[in-house]
Amino acid sequence: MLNCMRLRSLHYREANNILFVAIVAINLYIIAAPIWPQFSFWWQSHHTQRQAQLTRLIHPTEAIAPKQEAGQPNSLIIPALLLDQPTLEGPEKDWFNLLKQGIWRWPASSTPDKGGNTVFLAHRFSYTGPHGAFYYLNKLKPGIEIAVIWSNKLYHYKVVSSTEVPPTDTAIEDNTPDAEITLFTCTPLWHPVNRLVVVAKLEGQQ
Amino acid sequence: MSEKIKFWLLLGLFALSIALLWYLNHADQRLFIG
Repeated sequence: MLNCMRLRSLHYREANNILFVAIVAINLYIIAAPIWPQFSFWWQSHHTQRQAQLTRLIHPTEAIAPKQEAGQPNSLIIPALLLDQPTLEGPEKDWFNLLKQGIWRWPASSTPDKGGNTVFLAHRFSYTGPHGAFYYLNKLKPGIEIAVIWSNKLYHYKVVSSTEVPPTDTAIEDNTPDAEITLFTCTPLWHPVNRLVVVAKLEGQQ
Repeated sequence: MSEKIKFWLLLGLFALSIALLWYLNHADQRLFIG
């Protein structure tokens, strides 16, 4: 009888240890995930050549011109944000899942090859998928370069404005006579009530 | 505290942690919408 009770107590102790480790791991993830993009950005800025690599990627010289390979995914490249992510296509009804996965092109907007206004949106922060592709969108100031790879062609844009608008302002999604891209996400970071809108004008294409 | 009571307390905390993680994964549209 005594042995049986001791054995049961041993089993509870083992289970308690496992539960304790699991609880600590889950809560560490919950606490660390929002800080992770900041740490990752700081680390990559100070200890890697990521920004220089992305800048070279969007300014291929003749000597080292990387061929725009067929079947290359459409993507958005912003060296200043250390961002190089594929853009997703999909209908409006799937917005929740598409935004979870990364940067989504607003389906009603134009595309870079057609001119007009191409609208990309992404999360500022999310516990799922890429931890907020547009986490640092507020760092984009006029003059900063953005590139879009679209249908195996490289389009260069330069930021012309960064503004905040209320979510009811849907004019940011309207088409424009000039070729430009509009990037938007929510702001401020932890209490999102408005939209942060960055507009960049086409400078050229390769 | 007996190991049995500790077990039920930890199990409760574990369930709460999972629930919080689930909520953050599914409700982040409202919390941190981008």
